[in-house]
Amino acid sequence: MVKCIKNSGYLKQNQCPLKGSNPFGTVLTKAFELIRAFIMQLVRSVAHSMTRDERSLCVPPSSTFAEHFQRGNLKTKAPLREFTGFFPPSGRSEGYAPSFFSLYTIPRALMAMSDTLLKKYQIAALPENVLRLGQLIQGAFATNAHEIAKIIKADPAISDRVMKIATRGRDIDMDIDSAVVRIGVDKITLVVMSELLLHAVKRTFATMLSIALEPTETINPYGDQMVGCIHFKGKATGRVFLRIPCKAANSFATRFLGKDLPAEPAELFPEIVGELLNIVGGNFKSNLVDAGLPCSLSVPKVETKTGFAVDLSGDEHHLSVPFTADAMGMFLDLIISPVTDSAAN
Amino acid sequence: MSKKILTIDDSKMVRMIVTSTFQPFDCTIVGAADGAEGVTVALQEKPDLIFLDITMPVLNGIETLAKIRETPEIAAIPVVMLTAESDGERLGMADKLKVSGYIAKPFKGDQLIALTKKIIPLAPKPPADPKKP
Repeated sequence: MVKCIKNSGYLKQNQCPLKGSNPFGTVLTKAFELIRAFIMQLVRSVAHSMTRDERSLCVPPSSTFAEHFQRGNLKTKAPLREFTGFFPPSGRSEGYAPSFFSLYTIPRALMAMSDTLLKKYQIAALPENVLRLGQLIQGAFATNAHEIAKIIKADPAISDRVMKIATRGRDIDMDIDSAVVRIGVDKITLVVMSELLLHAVKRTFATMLSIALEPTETINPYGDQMVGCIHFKGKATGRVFLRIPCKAANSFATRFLGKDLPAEPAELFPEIVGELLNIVGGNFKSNLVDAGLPCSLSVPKVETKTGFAVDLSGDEHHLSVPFTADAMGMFLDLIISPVTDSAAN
Repeated sequence: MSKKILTIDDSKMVRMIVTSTFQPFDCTIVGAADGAEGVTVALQEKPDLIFLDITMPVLNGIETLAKIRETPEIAAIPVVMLTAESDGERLGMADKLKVSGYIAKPFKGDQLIALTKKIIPLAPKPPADPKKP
């Protein structure tokens, strides 16, 4: 960004236009230098708080880059956000008018565009972890463990899960920074994604089935289960499994359909699991898109199984999250391929 | 006057919930399991309102909505998206195609009724005529 600022007309000349041509030149030059230093400091602090994607898009107002962006010639569809408040509006950058430069950035986690529409259609605000995932995937590959730790520390549930994975559940004294180094960015991405998924399952079960879901540590093995699977593919690629014991069939059908139950409600169980997974998958996919990982979603596939095993390819990561709902143990499984630096950009 | 509502969703469960939700009202619910079938049913039935899912086989919801908007006979029918996908990209596309509402799944029947009442008048179902067989 500093490079962009240096390229702007104002900083190239780096001197006050009034110097030498005005009786108050010296005073004005001093004031000019002070203002310049102040703005540079401000810009540095703004740049420091931005993700790598945002930094790369800071441009001076007269730049053709901005024009290209506004015409939609760049890859991202996210609109530009102008940093105003700190700086006067652009458009007067010629000469030495008060507008020295403007900054344009992609909104954090690409959320600015949807914010207006979320309000217009009265849709619930995005979960905080969408922002964290956005920060993680857009910054993690070029940043250090301390910065990643700062992102995940903001959510106690994520910190807790990261610590459990890093210590393998043993009572070891370890701080988050060390845990980040130990488990690596792929697994951290998996943990943040699994929290988004769990959030979607909680909302779906609460709204569609009026069941409060409780995460748990372990679940005793049970018999037949209905296993739903949905795939997502794109900048994020992976699979989500939802495993519900078959003994939940009648209860789920009653809760899902209320008084309009068919004669054999249990026959609808595969459809119910499919629709629950469809909703969970759709919510999760939307979170990924809003975090900057566009992908497409498959239609859910549901089948009855007695056991459960997944084939993992070499670079895939798997996280299994047990939970209880309606006094029954269930599982949510997330499998992802690593989100690479090129995928994130 | 009785209203007609079309629900285009590949999930039988969602179609059942929509039907059940509007049972107390003087309206008929027709269903379609994918976008292509939805456009055909809309042309035949000329519904007063369409509920439309996005993730569907054959034609997805956004493609279906575009098809509806470019078909003069059904272009003006109000459409409410009823979908699990509510990211900025999907919302933006639906907004451009002039949807009348957007309900993000998971949803409650009350949400459907409240939004429908804002778009079309809904009257309670008249009592059954005892003389009719």
